[in-house]
This record gives sequence, C-alpha cells and structure tokens, in this order.
Amino acid sequence: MKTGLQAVIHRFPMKETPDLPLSKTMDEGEIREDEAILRESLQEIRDQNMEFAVAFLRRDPFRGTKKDRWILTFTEADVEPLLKITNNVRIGCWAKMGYPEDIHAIPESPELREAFYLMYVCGVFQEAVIEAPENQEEGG
Amino acid sequence: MSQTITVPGIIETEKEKTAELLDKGYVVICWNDPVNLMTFVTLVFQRIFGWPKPKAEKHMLEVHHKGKSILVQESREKAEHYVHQLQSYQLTATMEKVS
Repeated sequence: MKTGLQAVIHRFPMKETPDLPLSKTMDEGEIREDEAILRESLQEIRDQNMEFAVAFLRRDPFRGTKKDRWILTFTEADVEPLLKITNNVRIGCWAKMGYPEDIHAIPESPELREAFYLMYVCGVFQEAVIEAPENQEEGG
Repeated sequence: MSQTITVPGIIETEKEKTAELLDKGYVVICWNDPVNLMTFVTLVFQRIFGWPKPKAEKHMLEVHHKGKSILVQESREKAEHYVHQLQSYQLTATMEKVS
C-alpha cells in the first residue's frame, strides 16, 4: 500500500484527466469568460495540491509495524488534497484506458494494465480515507 | 453651451446584471459516470454543501440511478462556485439555466 500510494502521488497531475465543461446547455459565447475562469481556478487548485504532494511525501507519513504492515498517518487538513489528488489520478487512468464503461475489466496491454491497477489503488486509498472515523457520522 | 445628457439605458443594464447575479435562476447538476466511487461522491457532497450523510446519499443515489441529480438552485455566481468546487474533485458537474 505504501508504494502504491507513493506511485499514485508521483503520477499527479495526469495530463489525461479531462477538463469538464462549465455547462452542457448554456450558450458558449455567454460563458466563454466563465469557462476561462474555471480553468484558471482548477489549475490553481492543482498547483496547490502539487505543493501538498511534495510536502506530504517529504514528511514520510508511513510507519512500519512488526508485522510488515504500514500505518499511514494523516490529519483532517490532508483529507481534501489527498482525495483530490487520488481522484485526479483515478480519472486520468480511466481516461487513458479509453473511458471504459466496465471499470473492472482488466485491459490486455501492459501499459493499460498499469493504469488499471493504479486506478484500483486510488479507489482503495479513497475508501480508507472515507472510512476513517473522523469522516463518519454517528450511525453512518 | 454644453448640456448634460442622461443615458438611463446604461444604468438599467447594470441593474439587470445585478438582478441576474442575485436571482436563483441556475441549477447545479451532478452527472453519472462509471468511475467515481459512490462513497466518494457522498463525502464530496457532504463537504461542499454541508449536508448530513442521508441527504448526500440520497443525491448520490439519484445520480447513480437516474443519471443525474439537481443539487442546488442558486444565483449564477453561487452556482459557478459550486461547479468549481465539485470539478476540483473531478466530479462531472455543470450549471444550467432554469427555463
């Protein structure tokens, strides 16, 4: 899990991750300026998350245990950037595989298989963060 | 002798623009895709909108089963803000004018 998460963070941001439109129905001319602002805003967030990623790896939040398992320690402040980074990579891997409807089908080619497993690791880590006690409501 | 000419049309346009910005005439929609985890989508809704988990799950399930969910209806400025937030998590979210 440690090397998997490190691999995910090292791949951020993925160029394959697509830009999404601001609107599906509004007139292009009407929202051109707003689209540009959206792109700038998302790039700023990616830049901030890149700084976070470098700092996160540098502080090495992994700690080994006697049974050769790793414990990852992170704070509440780490949750948002970690989720954004892992989902950028997850979506980028999905895009690299050609946006398959069936995300459980293992691709044939070695390159796409790497993307598949990276996408899987992102999901595993996201679930772990989401399941963390601090992110649970009572009875939830 | 010079005269001052008042052009009320310009003032009217500014008022209309302000009204448009404040008017809750836009919806924020989250669209379905096969890749975002359901638990992830739920948590993102909770974080962005401050919703309790049951409400966030209800909208997530609407996205999953119906292909989309209208999350909020807001002014243009607020709707754009929410789309920015949702897309920063790579959720497929857009804003649309209410017809």
